[in-house]
Amino acid sequence: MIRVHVLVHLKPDILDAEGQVIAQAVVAAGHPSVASVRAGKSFHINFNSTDRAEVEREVERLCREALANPLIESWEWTVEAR
Amino acid sequence: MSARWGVVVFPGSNCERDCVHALRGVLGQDVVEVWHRDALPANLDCVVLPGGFSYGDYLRTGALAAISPVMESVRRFADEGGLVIGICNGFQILTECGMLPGTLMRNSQRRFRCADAHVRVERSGTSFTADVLAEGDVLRLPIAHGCGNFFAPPGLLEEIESSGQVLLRYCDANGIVTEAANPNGSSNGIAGVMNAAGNVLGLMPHPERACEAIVGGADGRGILIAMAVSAAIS
Repeated sequence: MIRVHVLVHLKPDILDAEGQVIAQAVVAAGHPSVASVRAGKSFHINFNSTDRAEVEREVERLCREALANPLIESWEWTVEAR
Repeated sequence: MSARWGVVVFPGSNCERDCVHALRGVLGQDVVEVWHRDALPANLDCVVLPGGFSYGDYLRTGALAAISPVMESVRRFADEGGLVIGICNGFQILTECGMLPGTLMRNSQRRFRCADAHVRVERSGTSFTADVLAEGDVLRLPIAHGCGNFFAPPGLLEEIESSGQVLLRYCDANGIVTEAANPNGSSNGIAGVMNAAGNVLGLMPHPERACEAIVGGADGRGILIAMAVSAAIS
C-alpha cells in the first residue's frame, strides 16, 4: 500500500471566487492581517500497489483526468508513506 | 415533428422531470429517461443532459458525472452525429468530459444567480436553431447556477469565436451585449456554445423551464423544436 497526498489549486491567474469570499469574511471577522486567500483541495489516496513508479504514473494520470481540470487548475503530489 | 429523445438521469439531477414534461407534455415528443449506469437505447435522435447537482457537485461541478458509465454511449452517440444538449449542470458535464470546449467556473459576482436572463441567438441554421430561430433573436430564459462563468484560455476562446461555435450570448432585453447583462462573468458573455461539429450544445439557461406561458414564458421552445426539426431532416 502506498499513500499519496495530492493538492489541487486554481492556477495563479485564474479567478478564485471561493478564496476571495473566505478572505473577505475572515477580515470582517477580526483577522485584518489576512491579505488574500487561495483555496484548494487536498486528497489522501491509498493505492493497492507497492510499485512506486507505477503509482507515480497512475497518480499523475488521475490528477490530469479526474482530480483537476487542467484548463484552470494545477496539481502537486507527494508520496507520504508506503 | 416528433423525435425520439433520451433524458439522462444522474444521481443528483433535478431538472429531468421538467425536461420530460416540456418535451413530452408540451411539445409532444417521444421521450425516455436513461439512468446513468445504463447505456443509451438505440434509435434516439436527441439526448438531453439535464440540470441539477450531479454527485452533489463533489470534486467539481459535472466532474464525476463526466466519468459516469452512460457518458461513453453519449460520446459515441455524438460521434455518430446524434444531437446532444447539456443544460446547466449538463453543460458542465459536457465541458468536463471534453465534448465541449472551455469550462464553467464560479460566478464572478460570487453569488448563485436565480433570475431570468436574456440571450441573443448568434447563428441561425444550426442544429439547435434550424429555421426556427434567427440570428439576432432575443430569448428570455431562466438561469439558476453558481458555476456558470464560461471560461476558455485566450487562444481557445478565439478559436471558439472564429469558428462560429458561440450560439447564445447574454444580452439586455434589446439584444445588446453588455457587462451589466452578463450574470456570471462569462468570457465574451457566452451563454451557450457548440462543439466544432455543431451537434453538441451546452447552455447555462434552462429552455425546458420556459415552454409555457403559465410558467412565465415560452421562449425556450425554439431550441427544443429546432432540434426535433433538425433530427427529422438528417
